[in-house]
Amino acid sequence: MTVTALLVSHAGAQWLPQVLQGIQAQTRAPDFRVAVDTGGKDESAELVATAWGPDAVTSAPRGTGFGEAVTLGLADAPDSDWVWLLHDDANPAPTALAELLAAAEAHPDAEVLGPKLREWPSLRRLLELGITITGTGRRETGLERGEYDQGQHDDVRAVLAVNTAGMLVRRDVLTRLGGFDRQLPVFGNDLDFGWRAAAAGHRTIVVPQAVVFHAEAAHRGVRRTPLTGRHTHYQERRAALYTLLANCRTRALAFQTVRLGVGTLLRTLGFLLVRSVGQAADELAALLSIYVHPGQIHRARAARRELTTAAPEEVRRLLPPWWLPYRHGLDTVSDFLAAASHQAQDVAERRRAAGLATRGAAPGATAQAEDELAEDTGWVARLVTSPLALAVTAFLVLALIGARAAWGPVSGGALSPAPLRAADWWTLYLQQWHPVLYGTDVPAPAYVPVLALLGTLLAGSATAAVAALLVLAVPVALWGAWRFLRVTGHLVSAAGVSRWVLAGGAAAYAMVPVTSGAWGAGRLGLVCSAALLPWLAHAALGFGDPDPDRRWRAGWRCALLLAVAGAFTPTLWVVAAALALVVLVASAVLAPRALRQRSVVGPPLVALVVAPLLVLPWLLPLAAAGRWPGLLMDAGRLPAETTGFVDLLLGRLDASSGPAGVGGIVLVLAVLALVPRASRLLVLLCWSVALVAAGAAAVLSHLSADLATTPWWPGLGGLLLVTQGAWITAVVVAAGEVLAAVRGRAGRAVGVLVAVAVALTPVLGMVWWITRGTLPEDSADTVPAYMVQSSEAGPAHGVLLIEGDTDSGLGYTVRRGDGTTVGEDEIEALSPEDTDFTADVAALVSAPTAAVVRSLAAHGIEYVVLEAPADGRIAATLDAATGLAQASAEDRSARAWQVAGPVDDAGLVGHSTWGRGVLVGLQGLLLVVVAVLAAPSRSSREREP
Amino acid sequence: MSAGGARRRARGGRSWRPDLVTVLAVVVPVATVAALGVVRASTAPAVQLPPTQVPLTRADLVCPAASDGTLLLGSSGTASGSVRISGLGTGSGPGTSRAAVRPPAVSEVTGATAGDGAVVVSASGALAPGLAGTRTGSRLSATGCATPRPETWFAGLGARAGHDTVLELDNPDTGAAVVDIDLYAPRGPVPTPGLLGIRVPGRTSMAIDLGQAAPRRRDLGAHVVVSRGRVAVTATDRVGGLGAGEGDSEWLPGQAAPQAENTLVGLLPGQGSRTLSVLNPGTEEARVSVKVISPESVFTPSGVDELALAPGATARVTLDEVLSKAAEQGAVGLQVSGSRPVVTSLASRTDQDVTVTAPAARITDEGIALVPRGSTRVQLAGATTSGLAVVVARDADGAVLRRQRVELAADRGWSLRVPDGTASVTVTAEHTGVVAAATVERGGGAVVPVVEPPRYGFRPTVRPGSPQSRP
Repeated sequence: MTVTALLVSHAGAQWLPQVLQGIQAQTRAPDFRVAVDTGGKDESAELVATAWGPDAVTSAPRGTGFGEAVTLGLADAPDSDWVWLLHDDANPAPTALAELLAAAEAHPDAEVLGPKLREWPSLRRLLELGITITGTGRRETGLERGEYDQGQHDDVRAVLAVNTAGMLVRRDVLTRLGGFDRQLPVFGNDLDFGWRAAAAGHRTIVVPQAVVFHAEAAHRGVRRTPLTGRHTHYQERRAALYTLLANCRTRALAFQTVRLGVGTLLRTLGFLLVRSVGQAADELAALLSIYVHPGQIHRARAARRELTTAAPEEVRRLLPPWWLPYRHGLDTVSDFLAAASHQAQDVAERRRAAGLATRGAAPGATAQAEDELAEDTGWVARLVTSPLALAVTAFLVLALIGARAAWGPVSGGALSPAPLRAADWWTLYLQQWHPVLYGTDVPAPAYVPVLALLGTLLAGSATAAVAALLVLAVPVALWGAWRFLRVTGHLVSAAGVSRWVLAGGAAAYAMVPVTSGAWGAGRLGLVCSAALLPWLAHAALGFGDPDPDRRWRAGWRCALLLAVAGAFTPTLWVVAAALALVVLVASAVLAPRALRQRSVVGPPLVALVVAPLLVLPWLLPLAAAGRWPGLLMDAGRLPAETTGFVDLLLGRLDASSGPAGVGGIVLVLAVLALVPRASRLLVLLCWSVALVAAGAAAVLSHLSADLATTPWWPGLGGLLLVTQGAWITAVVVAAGEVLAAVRGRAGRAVGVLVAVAVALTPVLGMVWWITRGTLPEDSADTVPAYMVQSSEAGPAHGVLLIEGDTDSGLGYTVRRGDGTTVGEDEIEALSPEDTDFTADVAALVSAPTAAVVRSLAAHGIEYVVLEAPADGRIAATLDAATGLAQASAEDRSARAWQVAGPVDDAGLVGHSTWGRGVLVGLQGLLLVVVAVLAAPSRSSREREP
Repeated sequence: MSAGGARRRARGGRSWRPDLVTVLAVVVPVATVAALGVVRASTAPAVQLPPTQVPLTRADLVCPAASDGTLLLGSSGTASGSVRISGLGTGSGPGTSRAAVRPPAVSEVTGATAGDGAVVVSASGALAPGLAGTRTGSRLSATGCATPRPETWFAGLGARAGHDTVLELDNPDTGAAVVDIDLYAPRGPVPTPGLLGIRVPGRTSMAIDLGQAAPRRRDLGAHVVVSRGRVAVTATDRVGGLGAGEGDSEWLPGQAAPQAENTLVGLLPGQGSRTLSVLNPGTEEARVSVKVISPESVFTPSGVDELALAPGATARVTLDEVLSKAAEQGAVGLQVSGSRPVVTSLASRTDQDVTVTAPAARITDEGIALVPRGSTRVQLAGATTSGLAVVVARDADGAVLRRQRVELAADRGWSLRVPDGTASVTVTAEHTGVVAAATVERGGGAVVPVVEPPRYGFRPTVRPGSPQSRP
């Protein structure tokens, strides 16, 4: 058996000496040696010429593809049985050729043989043992990333293809198959060749005993050729798409074309998500280059058809299973999520490490003792052996019990009923003009898309979304507070704060939405903000990261969280802005140098500026119409609670909310927290945050406005959350310090005292919640069921509800659709009064004429209900009115009438403009951009073998 | 952290001077609490939305059926014109006719125009404000014609042979009306499903005989609710023919709402039985005290104890001797005070006649009573503060027979004799409110309350939003 070794080189001078040495050292030397140099700018050609003689080297012009180079090399080469292909960056082990030939003898049916490829220069990491291609075009090696060669794959087996580096192929087969496809100059020609060989009935095997060390210079972008350019990803992707479309079965072609199109879009999105814009562009460009040249594929398929002899099943056997791409996708997503959730976790460690580094010491081992157990024990074992885990579990279970009122449809207090479907929220959000009251262009509240998204994820159930928020708010707040307090604890000392104190503090915070009375009052917005606030604080800790890139990311993350929390409780943005201002001023005094760094000042400003931009479809129309109260309006029914001085100190919304006194414990502990000297500075910082929130409360509480339907003043709940959060943080910091310092029996006593004090609030709060804390019942519906049914038929079937009596005045509301639901309260409150409609109602109750009744019908009023206790004089007036027919009311003391004549929805629907669509589209776009910027960056994960 | 500590150690600690952190540790919390102290607890301001006063453009007075009936029509207003009189449903109604009203004269409509069935007197335009009417029947019975109202309360009804009450439901409009009647007895509410949802067809009068609806009951109270349309409710007491002869019936005025303070004015002298009926419509026990209003004072008569009334219960207090004696001495009425709002009426069965009085509305401006001919007195009581009342008696042509100023004061009553031939009495109150009635004696007796006919319409103030969100 004669062998021709064919070496293709292109600017490989840095590897060539060793490669040549390796060929030289073969135990079974090749019979002939031919080299083709494709015009690299370095001394590659000379190196080969020196080693093998000038006649052995053929020079090809720059831009010659691998396939052409091989053809060129073989044209001048003497005849031989086998061709051994080598790259200038692939160094064969001394026995490589011998083993390949031995295998060829042992497997006479094998016509293409490939060695085991290992990484150069680490030498033991496996790169490839035969390759195949998935339905999405991924080059599949079947190896773990960076897997070490321990002989675990050392069986000779049939594969779809082998790498051209070290490939031993029968010369006649190579010739018959037409060599390598010219369309694939650098990448993917091996896969295509293997596939064609398999289709033509040839057998490819991998011979692990033969080892070749491969630098993968082109793939890793170390070597650039005119053929790869700067866009190696483009070339690789194009090759993969080409290979798939050129070789797949005819009946799969259409499906494959579409699938690759969709897959490419998804991958592009994924790359954008991790800010790999270049790769995303490559991905798209590769697809386009294939799509716009269908002739290429057509020709390639025609050429392959002639050679195909093997049954399709033979080839299919060598392709990976269909589900493999999906598993890879899942892995990628979960990796991404893990990275995203751990981004800010170790700010404290990184700060400490950076501090040590600048002081010249090596970063020591960080205290991770508490997590050691986590690595290798099952969660059940960890749960039952850890009293803390048991306590937290008990807390969570009790929280679920405490929230039992929210298991199912819930409304009451400030919480309106949820709409019928989550889709109603989307409609509400996308509509410019709402069929609410008499029709209004007040924009939907900013939190509506959040609820809509959640509802959509929960099988389209709006009720489930509201229930989920109310039930999960406390657990989510607990989780967030734990994460935040843990990092804060690490800021105090390297060892961190005792986990019991952390748990107590986190639980105390998690109970704030309950003990403040927000949960019981149905203040959904406050409850959500309470759950989000610790996450926001946690993200804000990233502003202190030593790494500028992480600071920027913290800025974007804060923007995102502030936008969501601010959508529910806009006053939080005010506090954030005030905090930023205070920090800025303090920095200007204390560390003016830091202020000159863009990466220090920029991220907080980004958070403050981008958060409002993210809620532009809500903000802009309100601001443009001058409806400023809407900009500070908490989610839920109006008016807001009457929160005063004592209430804010005691951490409750108003005198009737929450368990009295529980909030007072936090205040007392927060004052005591100032005593320990070591942690005083940090405690003082917490108090400063509380001071800023208190200042904001002082200013905001003096605002008020009289809206058309209700008086308005800003809810102070958001500010209450901030003060409570700051105080609890102060308590945890100080408690951690005290516990770390105490020694001996007296110390233990102090420790127990501190633990009891910290645990007191959550325990009392939980007891109160479970025994007393339910949502108030919504008052019984005054609208009879048949009217409800009718009103759901369309916005024109409104019910005019009149309440009050002649002596003290009448108020009216209009019920449309499924009534005022979550998200519509604010729209109703901000809707300006329709004075014509009010005049109609006034005329109706005093001197109704047929014209007035007709006008009502034109406003989409089908029924009139005089709520109990009905004023008899007005009832008599309406009874005598022409055009009103008596209808049955819900109870004896209420009255109802049906408006005769056709109802009209002219003023209620329509008025759609493209402006709203543009705004929402912009919001979506900005959201994606911010999400991408907030996401962890993807380093070099794509650079895998 | 330890920065403060280090600084302090560096200073040696001989004379303790607080470092910056310690100072801030005091200042910041104090400032926080101070800032919270500035917080203003916003509350919704109490919003009162009183109705606007508009000219009254239409007035409907419903005068109940009366055998041998006469209709007295007048007005406290100034405009003259003709009103429409339409008969209601049952009986030989006079159809529709017109009658002239020329205040301050009193028009007496008799015969077929007045009819013996219920009639509606309708005035429109300038004639509407101040329209007043009185229906007189045989044996000098008289009652004011009423504007339909959504609910009417009665106490002292009967449903048995000796004392039977008929409730007359008059619907002045063309559309049907619906009336619910709840009855109360000494032991509490009486379930009478048959009296709920009574449909009164348009422009008809309907009589509900309690003797048939709730037989063998005595001391009944009633709550008549008009749940649909407009209905004027009148109660007629028929007191059994034991000596007084047949046809001894008398109208029994109702009251618009239960009140804690009830002033019953209109006491005729004479011996006989005098019965005070009280109904407690509430859900809690009411304690009721009775006082006699005399020209000198308001006093609790001896032997009349405070009354405890169970929720929904009625009671009867016999005041025969007390009132006969007091009436002789010029007493004008009773003050019935309840710890809870109550409904009350006083039935006087003297040797002359039967009269029933109920608490009348307080006059704050100008009230009028059209009285049948006879010996007339004007009785006043129930002034809450000192003030002035001008009482003017006129004859049927509107000529002033007597004009008298009365200095009103709290806790006493007045009884003024006006000349015979008086056809109308007007009472104008200044600075205070007063309850007034005209008593007439001529063989029998009648008490006609002085009422303020509506002079204005009230248009309710309407604004968007639920009044609940504006406490």
